[in-house]
Amino acid sequence: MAAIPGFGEIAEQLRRSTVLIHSGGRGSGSGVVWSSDGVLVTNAHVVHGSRPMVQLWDGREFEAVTQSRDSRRDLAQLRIGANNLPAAIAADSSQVRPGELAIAVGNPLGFVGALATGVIHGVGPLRRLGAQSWVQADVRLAPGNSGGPLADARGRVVGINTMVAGRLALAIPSNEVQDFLSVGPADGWLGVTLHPASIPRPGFRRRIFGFVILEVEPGSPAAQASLLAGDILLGTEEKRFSSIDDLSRALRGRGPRVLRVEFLRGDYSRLRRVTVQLGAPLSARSSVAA
Amino acid sequence: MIRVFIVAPSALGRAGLENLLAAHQIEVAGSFSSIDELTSQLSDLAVDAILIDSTGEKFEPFLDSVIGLGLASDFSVVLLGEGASPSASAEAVRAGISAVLPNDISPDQLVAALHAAASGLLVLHPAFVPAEVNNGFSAVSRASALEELAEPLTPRENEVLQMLASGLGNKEIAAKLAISDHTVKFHVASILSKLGAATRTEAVSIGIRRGLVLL
Amino acid sequence: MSAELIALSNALAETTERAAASAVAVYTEARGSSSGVVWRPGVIVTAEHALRRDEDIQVTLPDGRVVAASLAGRDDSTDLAVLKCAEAASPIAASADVSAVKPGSLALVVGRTRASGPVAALGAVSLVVSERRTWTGTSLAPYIRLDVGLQPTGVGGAVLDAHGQAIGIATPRFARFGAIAVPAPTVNRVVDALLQKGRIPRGYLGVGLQPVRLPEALRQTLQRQEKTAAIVLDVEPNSPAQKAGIVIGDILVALAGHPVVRLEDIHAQLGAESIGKSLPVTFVRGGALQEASIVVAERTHGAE
Repeated sequence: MAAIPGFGEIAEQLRRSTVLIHSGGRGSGSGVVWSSDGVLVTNAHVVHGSRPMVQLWDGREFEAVTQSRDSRRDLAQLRIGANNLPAAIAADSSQVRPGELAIAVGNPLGFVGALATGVIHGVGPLRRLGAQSWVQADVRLAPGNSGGPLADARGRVVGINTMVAGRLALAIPSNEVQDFLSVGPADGWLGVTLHPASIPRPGFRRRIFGFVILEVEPGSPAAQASLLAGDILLGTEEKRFSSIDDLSRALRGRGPRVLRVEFLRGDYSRLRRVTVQLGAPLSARSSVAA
Repeated sequence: MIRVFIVAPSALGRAGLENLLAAHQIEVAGSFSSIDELTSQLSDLAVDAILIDSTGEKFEPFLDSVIGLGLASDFSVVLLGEGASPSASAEAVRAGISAVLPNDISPDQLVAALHAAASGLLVLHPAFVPAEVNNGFSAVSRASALEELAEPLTPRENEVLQMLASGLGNKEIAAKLAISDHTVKFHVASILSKLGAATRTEAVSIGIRRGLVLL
Repeated sequence: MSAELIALSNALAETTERAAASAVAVYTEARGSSSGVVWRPGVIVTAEHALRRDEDIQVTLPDGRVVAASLAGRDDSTDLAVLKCAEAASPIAASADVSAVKPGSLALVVGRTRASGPVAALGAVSLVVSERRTWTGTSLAPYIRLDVGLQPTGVGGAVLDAHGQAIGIATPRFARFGAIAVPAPTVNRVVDALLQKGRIPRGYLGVGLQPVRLPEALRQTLQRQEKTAAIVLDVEPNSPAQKAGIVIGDILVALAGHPVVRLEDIHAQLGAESIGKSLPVTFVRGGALQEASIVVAERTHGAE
C-alpha cells in the first residue's frame, strides 16, 4: 500500500479526521469530523449516554453533546467545542464503483487510528437487512471501527462503518449521512429520549398516541421547559402526534422559536401545556474542552 | 504458545495444517489420521486444543465420534468441516465442542479460533449462525445494533410470548388461540429467532429484559 | 487395597444399583440424553433445560426397554420437568429430612444413559443455605450445592445421601460451578403443581416496562445508590397495577422493599408465593416520590 504515491498523506489526513468516542467504560467506537467547527458524525449505537467523550487524533479530549440521533438509521450527530478541526471530505456515495479501493479508519480494539484496506463490493440493500442501502466493502473491521469513516482511494468519505456481515463491512452511505444531517438540524433539538405509547383516555374506548419521555438531557430545551421523565407528550397546540414523523416535523425549523407542547403528567385526564424554546444560539449549548 | 493435536484423514491435509500452525507459532504436539488413533494416545500428552479436520469425509460421523467419546468434555475441540449444516454445528456446540468452522476459512481465522478455543471460549462462524445474530461488532455495539435492526414481534407473536412467560406449553397455547400445534411451533421458532434465543426460557428472559413481556 | 476401601467401594456400587432401579434416561433427539428419576409410580422428574422438546420424549427404563413418555409440564424456575410414563413403576426412596444435609456430606448422583446402563458420580455437598431465591423469584429451600463432576448424561439424576436416599435432583443450573440438588420438598411441590395444572403459577401486575436511567438530581434527592429504575409504558385494563392507580409514565423504584434496578428485579418478586399478596410499590410521578399497594394476581393470559 505504501507503494501507491500519496497513500501515506491520504491515510494521515483520514486518520486526523477520525475520532475515538467512549462513554465511560462501555467500550469505544469511532467518529468522523464532519465540519471544522466541531460537528461529528458516528453511529447512534456508539453513543451511550448524553455526554460521550471524544478524543481527537492529537490526543485532545472533549466532552461532546449529542445534537441528534436516529436509531433507525443508526446515525448520531455530536458537537464538540473546538474549531479549525481537520474535517473529512465527503464523496458522493452514488458514484462509488465496485472494485475501487476502500480504506477504513477506526479504533479497533483500542488501537487508535488503525487503518484497514480492501475493495468496494457494491452499494445497495442487502436482502437480510431491510430496504436501506449499504456501501459494502471487503475490509477487515473490528469492534471500535463502528462509527468511523470508510473512504475511497482519494481519502474522501463514502460511508460510516456500521457493521459486519460475514466478511463484508457495511457502511452507511455518505449521501444518507448528509441527508440525516440536513433533515435533523442542530436547531431542532429537544433533548429527550422518547418511547411511543398508547394512552387511555378517560371516557373514551380508544387510546391515543403519545410519547413517554424516558430521559431529559440536562441543559436541553426540554429541561429548560421543566419537562420530566415520565411525562407523556401528546402533541403541539396545532396538532396531536400520531407518529414520530409528526414530532420531527414539529421540531423542524431554524433560528429561535417556540413550541407549545401538550402533555400529561401522572394523570390521564388533566392536559397540561408548556412552552419550549427551540433553536437557542449554539454557543449557549457548546461543551467545554477537557 | 499453545499446543494442539491435529486429526486429518489425508497425509497432505495433516502436512498442510502442521505447516500452517507452525508458521503461526502454534505447537503441534501430535498429528493423527483418525480420532481413534488420537484417543489411543491421549493419556500421554497435555494439549490446549484438538483440531479435527473432516475434509474429504462426511461431517456427521466425525461429530458423532467426538461426542460419543466425550472428547469435548475434556478438551477444547475445533472441528473443520465442509458441508456442516447450521443445525449440526449448533448441536456440536451444545455438546461442548468449542468451534465448528467451514474448511474454507482463512489461516488467520483458524489460528484465532484455536487460540479462542484454547482459552475456553466458543467460536461461532457467521456461516453457521442465524442472520439476526450475525450483525454488529463488539458485544456492546452488537447488542445495540441488534436491537436497532431486530424485527419487531408481530401482534400474534407477542401474544404467544406472553403465554410462554406464563409457562404454557405448545398444546395449551394452541388451544387458547384456537390454532394448530404446528402454527404455534412456527410462531415460537420465529420468536426465538427474532429475540436471538436458543430456548423458550431464554426467550422469556430476553423478553423481560427488553420490556416485551408484561409483568 | 484395605478392607475399609473395599467395603466403601462395594457400598457405593450397591447404593448405585439400588437407586438405578429408579433411574431412567430421557431423550428427544437422535443423539445425547439426560437422566430422570422415577419420583412416584408413573411419574418421572428430569432437568427442564435438558429436555429439548415437548413431544417425542423417549425414556430408557431400568430393564432396558425404551418407551414413550408424555410431558406433564415444565418449570424453568426450578429446572424441573415432569413426565408421565406408565411403565416407570418403581419410585426412588426419597429422604424424609433434607435439612439433615450438611456441607461435607457425601453426595452420590445416580442416573442412566441411553444404552450403557447406569451412570454414577461421587462428590460432596459443598454448601448448604437454608433458602435461596433463583432469578425467577422461586425459592430453593434448602439450597444445596454439590462438588461433583456432573456429566451431561447425569444431569437430572438422583442425588443420594449416605443413606442411599434421594435428597434431590442434580442440575448444573443455579450454581456457577459444579451442580446443585433441587431439594426433594421443592420437587414434590413442583410435581404436584405440574401434574395438577401443567404449569407453575406466576404472579402478575399488568404493566409493560422499560428500563430507564434516573435523572441525577432525582437520584440524589432520593438518596438512592442505584442509577436505573423501570418506567411504566403500558397498564393493562383491570389489572392489579391499574387498580392500584399506577399510570403510564410512573417510574418504579422499589417493589416489596427491594430496589427496582432492572426489569428482572420485578420478575423476581412475582413467583408463585406472591399471588394474592399486597406488595408496597414506590414510584416517581412528576418528579415526586409516591407509594401504593398492588395486590398481585395470578398470571393467566387466557390460560383459564
